[in-house]
Amino acid sequence: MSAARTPLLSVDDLHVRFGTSRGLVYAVNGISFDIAPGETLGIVGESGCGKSVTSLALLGILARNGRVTAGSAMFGGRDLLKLKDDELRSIRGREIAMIFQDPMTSLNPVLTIGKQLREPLEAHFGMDKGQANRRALELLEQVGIPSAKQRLRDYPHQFSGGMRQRVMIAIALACEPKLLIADEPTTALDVTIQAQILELLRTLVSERDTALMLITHDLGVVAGMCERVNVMYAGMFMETATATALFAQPRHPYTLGLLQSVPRLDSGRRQKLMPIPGSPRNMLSPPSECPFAPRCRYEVEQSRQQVPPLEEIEPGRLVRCFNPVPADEWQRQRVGGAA
Amino acid sequence: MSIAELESREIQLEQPQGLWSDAWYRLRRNRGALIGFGLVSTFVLVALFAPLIAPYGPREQNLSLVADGCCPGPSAEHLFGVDQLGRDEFSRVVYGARYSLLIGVVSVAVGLSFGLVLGAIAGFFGGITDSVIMRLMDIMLAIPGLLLAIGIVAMLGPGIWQIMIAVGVVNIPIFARLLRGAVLGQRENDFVLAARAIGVPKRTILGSHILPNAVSPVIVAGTLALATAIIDVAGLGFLGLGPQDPATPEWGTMLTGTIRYLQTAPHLAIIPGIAIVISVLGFNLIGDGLREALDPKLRGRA
Amino acid sequence: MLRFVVRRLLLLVSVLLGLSILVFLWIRALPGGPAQALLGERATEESIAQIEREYGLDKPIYVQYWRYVETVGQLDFGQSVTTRRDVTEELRQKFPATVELALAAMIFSTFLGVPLGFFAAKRYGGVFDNSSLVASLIGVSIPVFFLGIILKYIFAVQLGWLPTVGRIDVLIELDHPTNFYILDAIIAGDPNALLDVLKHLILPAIALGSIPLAIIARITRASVLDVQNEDYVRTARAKGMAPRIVDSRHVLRNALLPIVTVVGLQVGFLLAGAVLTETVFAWPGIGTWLVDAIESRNYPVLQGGILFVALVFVIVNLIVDVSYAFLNPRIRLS
Repeated sequence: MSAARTPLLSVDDLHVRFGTSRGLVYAVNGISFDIAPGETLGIVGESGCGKSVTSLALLGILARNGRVTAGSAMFGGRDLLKLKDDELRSIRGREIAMIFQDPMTSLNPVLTIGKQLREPLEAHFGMDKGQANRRALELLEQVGIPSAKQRLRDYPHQFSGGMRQRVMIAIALACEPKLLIADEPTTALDVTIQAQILELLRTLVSERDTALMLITHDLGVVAGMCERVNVMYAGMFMETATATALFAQPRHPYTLGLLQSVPRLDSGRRQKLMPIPGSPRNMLSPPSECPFAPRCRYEVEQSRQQVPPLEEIEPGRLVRCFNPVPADEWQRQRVGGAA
Repeated sequence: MSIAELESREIQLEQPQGLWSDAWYRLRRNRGALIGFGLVSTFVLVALFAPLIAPYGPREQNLSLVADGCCPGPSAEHLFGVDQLGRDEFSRVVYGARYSLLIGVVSVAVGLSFGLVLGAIAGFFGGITDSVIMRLMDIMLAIPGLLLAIGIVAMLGPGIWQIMIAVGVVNIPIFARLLRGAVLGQRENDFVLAARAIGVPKRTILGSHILPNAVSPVIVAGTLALATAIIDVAGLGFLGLGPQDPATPEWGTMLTGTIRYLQTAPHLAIIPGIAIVISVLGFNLIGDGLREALDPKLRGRA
Repeated sequence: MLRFVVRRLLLLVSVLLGLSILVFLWIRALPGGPAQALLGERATEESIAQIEREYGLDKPIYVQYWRYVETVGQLDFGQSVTTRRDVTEELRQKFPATVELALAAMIFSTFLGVPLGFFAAKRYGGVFDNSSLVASLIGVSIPVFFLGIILKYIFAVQLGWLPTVGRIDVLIELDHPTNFYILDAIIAGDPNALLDVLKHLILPAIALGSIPLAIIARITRASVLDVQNEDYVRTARAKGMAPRIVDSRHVLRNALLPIVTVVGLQVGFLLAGAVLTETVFAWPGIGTWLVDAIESRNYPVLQGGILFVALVFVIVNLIVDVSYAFLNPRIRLS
């Protein structure tokens, strides 16, 4: 999937595996994507589909039992997956930054917020405490923390969840990274706060022309924020499209299923919620058939025999399916009632 | 927990099973626990079949052996050598297992039963009952265990039953605290609230809902308490507070006064001590294995 | 934080109060009655009667208790039955020996235990980790007096590297202004004496401190392992922080909190274990004092000794709790 300019990050055929006491877990099974500078890319999928693992693998901070078994990730002319830890360290936090899901546990409880903000500045830019403090103050103000000066000396437990996530964003943007990875940034927050945080992210990212990789299970989040979207399932991309196209005309049965299972205010009173039947695939073996087939209403014989390849069925639209959903199917369902 | 771990958890790694079968599976695979089980079984078997295993009686003296001074070491007729009065060390160690087992089990049983009752009451009824009971436990815990035991023995006089009671009493606050914590943790649980909402009497709630969930930490604590009980009892015996008849083959008592013979007859001190270490190690290994097997946080961990 | 400290102090006071009641009742439960207990074997009809009048044993129990609190409050624990000296006086003489031993053991166990546990955690699953696990399991299974005997046998009796008993060679002359022999040697500017004192201290300190060492190492390992998996450590790594900084500022600072609590608990063990260790090495401290008191039914000494030890233990626990509260910003700032 190529973008107009030279991609900032170009991931090709990434495979990640974990060794556990019950066997090998094939968490990521061959994903490829590009992110252009300043672009906002969404990766959508259920829990356990491997989306978080992808970002951890890129930064080289997988858990001990995790390994990248294949693939490349070109960034700034270097393959991230082949770099050694001290080389990656200069990229982490400086050129690629990451914010995590749970702001309640992602900050060190025994250090002040100021200290945690200064850390990357001192480490990457060699700033002294005074300079770092001034910059930290700026950052806190930019993310909308009131009384920033006093707050620098406070500890994480003195902030609310939403505030802590703002701080996380400030920390991530401290060194003006080229790419920000946001892994479920609003999942742990109240709905009202979610909107604020997303708005903040959108503003900051566009101001700085930072690329944003937004990982989430929430379609609503993706709809408002992303230019392009990858739908992920069982460690592979099932569909890739622009956000507008994806929401108007989902072509993969899984995407369709996701859209169908979201309750809507404008649905008729008798319209039933349609959850996706079954449960996520057991990842103890690499896929040998279409991973979604067991839960799919559109499966054909071939779905059970091999993994469908990711194909460009329209310009800018990739789908991994032997029997993609007809283009107008979703619109039809929405207008006409139950499928 | 990292996201990767969360994700690998959600990925179906195992069929969800009951706590017990899960724990049993993990216990069986724990090498340490298996070794511990072997040690403890040996210990118990030796204690049970002592008369069959020991070649001599534990109080049988043979003064001719020490006519030339103390004390002959290990030999063909006397595997562990002979003590100051010509008694066979091997037989004494074997019979000593009986004392250690008995004293250990009884003291832990005493501590466990009183402690559990007190803790359950404190945790369940809360309020003043809780404060009073816990204050009492705090006071008992304010004196380090061995010293508390010494104090109790001073009050009761020395002897086997007395040290059993002493060590038992020392264990009471430990179990009380444990159970109170477990009960408090469960009390606000949804299923307890549900039971109360439909009018199940408090006593039944305590018995059928709360206590079964508190069982696993108690099992772990009980096993480990057994280990420390054996050590404490040996310690009291060593200080001369145990069985007053020096002929009694209790391991700790057997160690009293062996210090001055370290040069000439080290086996007198070393062998009973090793027996203590081995049996305590066995219980510690099992206790540790149980702790890991029953810890719900570890279920499904990579 | 202030509220926390105040609350803990109140707790301490109430525990001490309860303790005094307990000991008060204990004296009365002793065989032969309290007067007999306080006088020991030399009790005669008239001395018993005198004691009974003095302690008001004929008066109602709360009067007796009040009298008792008064005497104990003035640190008057009576006279030792065997030596006829003030219990308080003997206590003052003996406790530096035990404190020196306990401190040495504590330093040994902490300064060795924490790094051991830390490295075991960092090399999780490796040879060092597994062997240290085995070692610490065996460590907690050895009774402290047996360990003392073994150490004595190997290093003193067999190898002869270290002395077998006592705090100092009988031939060395040293003044004892503080009764802490190490301090005394330093004050006297006598390096020979200092070396000798240290040599005498090594074996008992190792014997006493090995079990806390095993426990502290294990707790450190568990704590570090737990903290390493925390989200904020991952954040630190994602920020590009160097491993050494991640370890010290993020991992250790948080891992140390539960360790502090455990270290406090070990003090209780040290105080109890001192009784046994001192017996093995003929160390003239509170331990041997109490053991002799048991044999000679010297109840005033027992009462004084136990109360003193309990007091020390309770105060140390308070210090540990306050330190923990201080180190943990969540409590410090509430």
